[in-house]
Amino acid sequence: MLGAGNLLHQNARPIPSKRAAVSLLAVHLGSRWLLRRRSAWLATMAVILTVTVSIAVMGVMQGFVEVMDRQIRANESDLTLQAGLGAEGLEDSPGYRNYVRELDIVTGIAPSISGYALVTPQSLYRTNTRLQESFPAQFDGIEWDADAHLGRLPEKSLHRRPDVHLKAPPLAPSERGTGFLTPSWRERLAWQGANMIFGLGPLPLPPTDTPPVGVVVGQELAYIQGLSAGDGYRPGTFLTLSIPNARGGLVGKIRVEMSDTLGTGIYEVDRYNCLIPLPFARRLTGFSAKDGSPALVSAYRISVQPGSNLDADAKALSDHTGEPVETWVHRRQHLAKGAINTRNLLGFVMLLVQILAVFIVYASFSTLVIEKRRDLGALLGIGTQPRQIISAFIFAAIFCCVGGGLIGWGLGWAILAGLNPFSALTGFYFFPEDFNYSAETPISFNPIVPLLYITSMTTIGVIAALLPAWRASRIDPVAILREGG
Amino acid sequence: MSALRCLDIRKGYPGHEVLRGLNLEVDAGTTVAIRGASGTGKSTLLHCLGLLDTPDHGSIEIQGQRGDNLGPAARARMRARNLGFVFQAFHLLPDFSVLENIVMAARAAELPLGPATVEANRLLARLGLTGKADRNVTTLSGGERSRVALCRAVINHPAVILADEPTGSLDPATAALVVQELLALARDHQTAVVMVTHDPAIAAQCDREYQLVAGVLA
Repeated sequence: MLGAGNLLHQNARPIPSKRAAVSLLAVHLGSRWLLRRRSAWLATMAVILTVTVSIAVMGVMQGFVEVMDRQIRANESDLTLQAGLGAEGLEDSPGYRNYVRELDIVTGIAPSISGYALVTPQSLYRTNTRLQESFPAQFDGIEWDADAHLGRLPEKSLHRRPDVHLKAPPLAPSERGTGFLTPSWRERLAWQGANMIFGLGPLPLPPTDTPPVGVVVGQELAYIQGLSAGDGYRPGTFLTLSIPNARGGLVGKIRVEMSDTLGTGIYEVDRYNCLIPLPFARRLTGFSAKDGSPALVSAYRISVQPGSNLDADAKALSDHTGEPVETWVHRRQHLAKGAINTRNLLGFVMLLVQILAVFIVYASFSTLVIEKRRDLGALLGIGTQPRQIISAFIFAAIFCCVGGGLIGWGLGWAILAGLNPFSALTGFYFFPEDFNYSAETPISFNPIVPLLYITSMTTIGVIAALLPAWRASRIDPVAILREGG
Repeated sequence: MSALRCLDIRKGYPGHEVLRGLNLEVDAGTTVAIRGASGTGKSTLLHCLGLLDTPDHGSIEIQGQRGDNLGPAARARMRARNLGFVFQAFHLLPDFSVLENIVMAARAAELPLGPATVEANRLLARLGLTGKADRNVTTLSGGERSRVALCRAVINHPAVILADEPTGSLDPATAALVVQELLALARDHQTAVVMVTHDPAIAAQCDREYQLVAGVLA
């Protein structure tokens, strides 16, 4: 018996399925062509470059989105119970808080007083013409522990908590944060401590009657004006906060001292908000108890059970209190959505950039077909199936895109990992320091980003290789064989 | 049953008929030489017999099975499994080693790799190419390349080997050696051989010799 069957009878090994045989030949041909041909290298390089750039750009963009998310959730509770229209504020009393807590869904409550202040620098620092005008700032008075209980002010986003131990050495500027004593108050308290021990007698007057202990005004006030840190508002700079009332007059003025860190120790979401202790905010806004009336707050921040339906909870709380209630989504959704939309738009642009790589893949594989025309003719001549030839090119495209994509993934993440060290080393920062209260570039190593781009690149690359592959399978072996060697 | 039988093959190009009712029958183990002047249609005949080209008329049977009326995929499969080719310029694949070139024919036929590799090594040893299995074919001499082409043609134990001037680019001594090996392999495997050649001495070594004249074998 003649024919290929003879070979099969000589060995008892099972014949692989046709699909497996096709795959083996495709892998063999495709991988060899890819490794030996410079045109294939060019395609791989194009893939590497495209994926690297996409991952690096989207890693930063995703970093912005994640920072934004973190900041929003750090600054917003699940629900906010507000004073109704026309009401000056909500009653701030243990009884009212307990009344709110009666609702089963409520797991935490924290009061909040919001207001605006006009900030006027002192004449001592008016040499800089940019600082001569007053500017507005929003403040948010809080009870630290209550807010922390709600999950706001997470440790990661804060500087160290206040340290009032008088014998403690001064903290490094980078460690000073919310509630830290300003230099003049630290000196004052040191004198007080010494007087208690040694009986020094009458002490100098306090630096000012305000700010009270623990109150600082951070550099975000400077950031609001587009000024960089150290542009005049150095630590110890005194400012006057003028608090406007609704009638065009002033609730009052207060002299405050600039800390050398952000006053809140937290990355502000919108840079127009500084957190201050509730009693201070109450004084600024005139919300203190007076004439038999209870103290007021602007709103209560409410936490509810994790994973619960916020809209339903908001309605239940509103029904319970008779006051309007908003979810964090309603309050900050525009910020989160804005960042996500920007990221998605940039992601789409990066996908479009991949089309450039597609042209290179197409051109490279077309060149490969021309280069390998003689070999393809011989392969088809000895009986290689056209589908085997197509499979070889498709495999080469997949190998090129996946392999190049994985290398691009590594390079992209290496670039991301090196961005901030590079900035620290060279002093060159990619974003202005006041852009996000930090000179550091926000970076995300979310693997979804590279996986998305490698998948899309592979899909597009395979499509780009289809036409050259089809052309390769249609080569006329007779014409090639007639051309001879 | 004949290994190869073609009846009334006609093949032409616009304004010119090359093959005019050609008949040929080759039994297993029989070697046939076809000679003829340039342009008489020797390569066209070989391409038709190898199912690479389609005759305008007539039938071609390989081991009793019609091949000329099959679809492209079935023709390719029959070519891979039942036919072996020694091309004029050998047409080895420069990106692959000697062994890979030979086994490529088995892979094209979708045959298992293990037995094919064993067979390829056996053939290499028989043709004096032991130790060169992993060499790239571009580093081989013309004679060595022709022997690799022979190995590739016979590895699947085809019914018919079609050789298109397999010694055209070789010196007389090497050519004689290569033909000797081709005929020996065909005899051992009971494979029919149809060889196109210009060399009368080589043609004389075959069992039968034809002249292609005016589109028919004489």
